[in-house]
Amino acid sequence: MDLLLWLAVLIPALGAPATRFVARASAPTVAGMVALLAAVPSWLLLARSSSGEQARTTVAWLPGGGLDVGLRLDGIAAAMTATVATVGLVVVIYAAGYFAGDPRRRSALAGLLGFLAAMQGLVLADGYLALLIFWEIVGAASARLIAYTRDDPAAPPAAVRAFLTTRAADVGFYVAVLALFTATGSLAFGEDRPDGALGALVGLGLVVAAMGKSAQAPLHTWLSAAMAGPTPVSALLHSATMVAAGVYLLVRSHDLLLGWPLQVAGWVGALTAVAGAAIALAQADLKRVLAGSTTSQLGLMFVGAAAGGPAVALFHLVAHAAGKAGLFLAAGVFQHLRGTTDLQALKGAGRDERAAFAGFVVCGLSIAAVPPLAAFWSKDHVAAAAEEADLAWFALVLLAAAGSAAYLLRPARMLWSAAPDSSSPDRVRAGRAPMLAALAVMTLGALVIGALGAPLARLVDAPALPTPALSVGLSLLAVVLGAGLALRGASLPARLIDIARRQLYGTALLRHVVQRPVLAAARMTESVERRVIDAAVDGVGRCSLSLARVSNWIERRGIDAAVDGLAQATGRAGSHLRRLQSGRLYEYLRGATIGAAAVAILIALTTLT
Amino acid sequence: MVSLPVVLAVAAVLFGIGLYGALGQTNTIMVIMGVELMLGAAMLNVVGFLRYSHPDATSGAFFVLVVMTLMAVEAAVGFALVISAFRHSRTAEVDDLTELKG
Amino acid sequence: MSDLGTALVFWPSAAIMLVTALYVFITSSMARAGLLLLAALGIEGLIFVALASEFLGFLQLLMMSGEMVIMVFFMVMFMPDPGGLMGMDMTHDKRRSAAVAAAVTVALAAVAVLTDWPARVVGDDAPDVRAIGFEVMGRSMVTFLFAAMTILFAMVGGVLLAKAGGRYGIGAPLGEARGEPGD
Repeated sequence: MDLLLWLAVLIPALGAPATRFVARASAPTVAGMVALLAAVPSWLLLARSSSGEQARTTVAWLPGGGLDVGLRLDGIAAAMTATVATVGLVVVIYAAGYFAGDPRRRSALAGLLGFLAAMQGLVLADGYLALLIFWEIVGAASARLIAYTRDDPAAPPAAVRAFLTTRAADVGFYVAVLALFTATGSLAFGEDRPDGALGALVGLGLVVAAMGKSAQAPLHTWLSAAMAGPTPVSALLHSATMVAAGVYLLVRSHDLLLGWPLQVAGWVGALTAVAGAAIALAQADLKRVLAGSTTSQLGLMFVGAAAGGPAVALFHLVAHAAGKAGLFLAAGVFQHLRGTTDLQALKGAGRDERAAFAGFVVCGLSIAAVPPLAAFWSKDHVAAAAEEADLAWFALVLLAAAGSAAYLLRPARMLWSAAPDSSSPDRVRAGRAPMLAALAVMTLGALVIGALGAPLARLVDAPALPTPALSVGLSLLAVVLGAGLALRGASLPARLIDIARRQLYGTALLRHVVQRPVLAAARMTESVERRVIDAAVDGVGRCSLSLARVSNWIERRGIDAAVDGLAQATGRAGSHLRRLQSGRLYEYLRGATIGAAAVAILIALTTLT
Repeated sequence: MVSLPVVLAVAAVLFGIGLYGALGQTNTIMVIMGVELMLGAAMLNVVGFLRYSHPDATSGAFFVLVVMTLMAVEAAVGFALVISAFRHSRTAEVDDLTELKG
Repeated sequence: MSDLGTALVFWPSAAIMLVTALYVFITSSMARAGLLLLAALGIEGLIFVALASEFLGFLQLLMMSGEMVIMVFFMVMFMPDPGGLMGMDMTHDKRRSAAVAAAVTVALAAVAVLTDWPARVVGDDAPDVRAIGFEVMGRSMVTFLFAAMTILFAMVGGVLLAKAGGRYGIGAPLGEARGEPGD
């Protein structure tokens, strides 16, 4: 069992460099094989877990201190790992077709496999420390994959924004981990929140981290920008797995976040659900519509986690993964056809690629929560849980449901509409087969996953999912209303569209709240350094020079003068004394006489007295 | 009437005269003469002691003998030096013979 | 001699001696100075005799006469103006040397007069010549030898110094070419 846990992480991890360095022609095959192999342990783990087994394996890298890192298997982890593995396998097969003809496809495939390894580690982590480590690796992998397209000038800034936003939110994660460790000395899952200020830090920190990773308002702008990356990346990371890690964090920390943190998460999710829908309605780019939709659906998952507990959120996560990944896969096919994802340029692409359009429609219906597709059931549970928890949330969920119908119907209509000026002929690109195959799998998933609700709830030991009739009816009504509005072609006022295009001023907000103060602080510290510290250092230097000059003066005038004066005095004394040596005999005699007389007198005085 | 202090006093005066000459004369020969007088005064001293203090001190007489001899010897050597100096620099004046000047 | 005889001889002799000694340095003639010195030291010999040291007195007279005559010969031979006819003043620093000499004289005389000399040791009157002979040849033999050696060295050294070419024997003709003094 421990071996299965490690294999789930190690197979893709080792497969990534293997894919990178094999021959270019065989790289897609190798990647596909690795993804398939990597999925096997996950499915086995799911099977084992559904029969009630649990496991845990740790690496004690720091003896003592409660800082062990390792992997565990329980219901939540089993569900997540199976989801990640399956979506990963499908997307890797899709990527084999998407990157056909791209000379750098080995790098992309290796990147996807590496990301898979990290994501598996994230969902299988056994404690907050392991979770944090894989969380960071996943963020880095995401930024790298976004910046894959070297030709697109928008890609690197998008990658930087994605990385910075999620990283900034991760400060909350670090604060929470530190506070938790300080308060309880242990970083295992399932504990209660400690009291007081530390507990508040824990709750707030985890919610902020989840918000950043899942692109909830006001940290939602990076997801739209991340659409500059390749479509498989968008399908895997930014719809199904990485952004869902925030939801996973909330689910894991349910006990820790009981009380006001979950309330905060729920409000954030509810408001973001509506905001995301509004943004998605106004976009001019197909992938950005899907990005806004992802934000909105993640908000619904947040509401589910806050209101109904782990099973509701997880079910919606799985269902959304299938549907949204399918939508992205279809968008990729259209992108290969027309060379862009701009909606105006894609007009009529649905008619040219009817298989892809069919998949697009089915997955879209699922996301829009049309029964009996998968996401209908999951969203329904979310709505019911919201109704039980807070009526305001319920209202917002209904609003978001209406919006989801509208924002998916609009692109569908545009794709189907006859484009009078489509001049490009049907371009048969290489790699259509894998792409369409993968799309088919996803579509199938969107169709059938609805039945997985109850088994999932049993898996995670949660009470049965709520399904009151009122919420079902109101949800359906909302969907119909949204669809009707979209069909009628009503368009929002231009001003509102403009605001929505600006991500509801999310970017501007971040610029004012974060960017400007940070730059101002940097300029201030720079001027402090220049004026104060550098001036002080220069002043010290000048002082030293002045001291040196003073001591030089002292030395010259005082000491040297004294020494020279002594030498001159000695010389003068010598010249004077020289006169004794006159060479004149009589003077010598005189001196001798006087000296002898003096000695005689002395002796006489001493002996005769 | 003639007693030791008298003799010594006379010898003292003689010594002073000799010293005056030794210090004051420019010619080397005159200086030597002054030295001869000083030695003579010393001899007078010893003879006075011999007569009035220690009559049987033969060592005193011997001392006078030796001093007398050395007087002569010193004069002879002095004259030889003067000759040599005169040959060298054509002068015997003490004021001019100052080559040992430091 | 008796005390009276001693006094009779001593006082005049002492006076003459001092005067002549003074005149040695007053006169401007070197020859006369030499002769006056002879007179002074000769009279001193007489004083010795008066003070019961006959041997020493005669010895003094003998030696001084020979010495002074040689000195006069020497001066006449080598010195300019030995007769003092040009009236050269041969003194310098008269006042200072006079002062020093006077000070020394006064000091010595004071010591001589003021000291409480010990009394006369009882014994023979004066050593006679025989006793001096014994002394010289007996107890003071070493000193006598050293004195003899000194005389010998002085003689040899004097001759060497006075030689025409000096110690190194460089050209007597050169000295003659320069011309001897006293022409």
